[in-house]
Amino acid sequence: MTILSTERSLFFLLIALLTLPPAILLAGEHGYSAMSLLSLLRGDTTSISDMDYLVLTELRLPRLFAGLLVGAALGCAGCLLQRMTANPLASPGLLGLNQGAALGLVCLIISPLPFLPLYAFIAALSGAFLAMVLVFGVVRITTGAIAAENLLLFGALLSTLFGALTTVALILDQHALDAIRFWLAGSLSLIERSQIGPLAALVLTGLILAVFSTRSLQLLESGHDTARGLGANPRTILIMVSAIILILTATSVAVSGPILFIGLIVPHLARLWIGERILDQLLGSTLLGALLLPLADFAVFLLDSDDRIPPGVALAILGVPWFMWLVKRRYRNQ
Amino acid sequence: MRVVVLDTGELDIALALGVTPIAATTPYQVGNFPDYLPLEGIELISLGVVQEPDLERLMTLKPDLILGSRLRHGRLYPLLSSIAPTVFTDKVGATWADNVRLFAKALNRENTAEALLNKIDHHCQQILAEYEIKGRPELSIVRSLQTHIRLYLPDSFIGSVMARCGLQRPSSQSGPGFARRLRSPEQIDLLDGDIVLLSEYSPKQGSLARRWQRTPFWSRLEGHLYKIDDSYWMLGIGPLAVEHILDDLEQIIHDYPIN
Repeated sequence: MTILSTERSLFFLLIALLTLPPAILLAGEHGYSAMSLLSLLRGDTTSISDMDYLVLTELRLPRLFAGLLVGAALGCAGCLLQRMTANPLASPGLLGLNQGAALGLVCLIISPLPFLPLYAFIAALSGAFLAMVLVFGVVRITTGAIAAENLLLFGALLSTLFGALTTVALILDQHALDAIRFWLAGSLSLIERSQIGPLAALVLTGLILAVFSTRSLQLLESGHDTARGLGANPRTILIMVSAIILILTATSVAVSGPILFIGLIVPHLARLWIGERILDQLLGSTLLGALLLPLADFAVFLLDSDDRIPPGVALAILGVPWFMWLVKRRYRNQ
Repeated sequence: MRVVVLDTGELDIALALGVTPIAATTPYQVGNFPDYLPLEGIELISLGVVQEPDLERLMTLKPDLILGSRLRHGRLYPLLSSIAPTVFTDKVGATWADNVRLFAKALNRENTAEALLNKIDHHCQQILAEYEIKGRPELSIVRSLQTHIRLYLPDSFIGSVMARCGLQRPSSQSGPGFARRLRSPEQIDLLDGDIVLLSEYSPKQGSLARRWQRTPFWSRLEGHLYKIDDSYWMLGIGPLAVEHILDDLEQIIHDYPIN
């Protein structure tokens, strides 16, 4: 592989991302013909059967958009967290967000409210939000300050507590387990068209805020004292970046369940390929996440037309050996 | 006689034969028996969920007879039969009528069993007469769960009840097997029939059909849609459930317009 400049790598990623949606729609045995898609774009719906039209507009396009948005959000959030904590093992799941969202869903199931997608979205979102607030609160109370490394430790600790509570509820009630089984595994198969609007609004907001936060993160990385010397408050930066991570992760987790691979591995891939600078790594993670998730989702859809395999599984099975090979080659070369 | 039953089918059969068990398991939720069973005023001890009966509790109850099936609890047979005489049917569901006869033998209620089955067949004949007049509409049987939608085939309990009465099923639901599982509304056309009977398993927890109903896919269905009660159409697999099902069917076919 030739070493590409950062700009060119990002450019190639962008091109790949733009060609992905049409490629996914055209490929596979259920693929659409290029002609009928073009005439659809011109507003002519006669070139395609009613059923194909419904499948395209109600199932395949929403799922594709959800994959792009969730992949971008998780890639971006993972990168922010790894830079903020200076910990390459950090992933958004460690802040207790995933388990908090799961607990939120279980509370909804136990409550007398009906299990509607909108309610589920709100329940998962508030579960993740409360989990994060609790993690910050606990860190503040027990250590007297808010430091990045403590956030991860107490996040992991509280995750086990939320996980235990969720498990108790699921064991006592099999209905509850069935209702959120797909969600627990991380899946895009239950996406509804109505969810795409709010998902896009929240994720895009989060991504824009993330880009703006890179300067503050850079200050933080130069050391807390230097940051203070330059007039920045490290604690404010921590809280602000955490809030962005919360928006990005909680919205994605609320619609698709936890997809761990993207948040953990994609930032590393972006660092290896695109560059170490925060903004480069952040853009790289976002684009790569947006590229990999729909691709993995499409791959499992091709493998099993019954749609039972979660994309996170495909990402982990193919991605982990691939990532190990990349890292090994990197270290051999040095 | 102190009888313990290990599944809802056995509970239904025992009650239909006039025997009230002292303890039973429940499907899916600990302590929740299907609504249709006449259990008012009866103190039935819960042994937990079907998959994991509470054996310690069962032992302290000192039963005289245990009823179950090889399908559900085959691996527990040696243990159970050391607690009390244990009678297992091979399967549950489509074999419900044979199961009634076997358990009747164990409970010494063989005459009651024959009378029960005769009464059911008689009711079937009445329904069939009306059914012929209405031009033999095809009945699609759909059960919506949280993760998928099932179409019931002839080898299921409800499929066998339909066949026993001579009612027609759509071609999508006439092959061999227990059930067909659908996950995507792309397959909505397979649900259709002249009459579509929709059962929802635990609708409060969001059954998949509700998601499909919110999409334009649902308007592709052309048949007459009826909601049916999951507790006896699907969960109960014995003669008491059959009697409730036949009452429903009689009404549904009566309401169906003549072509």
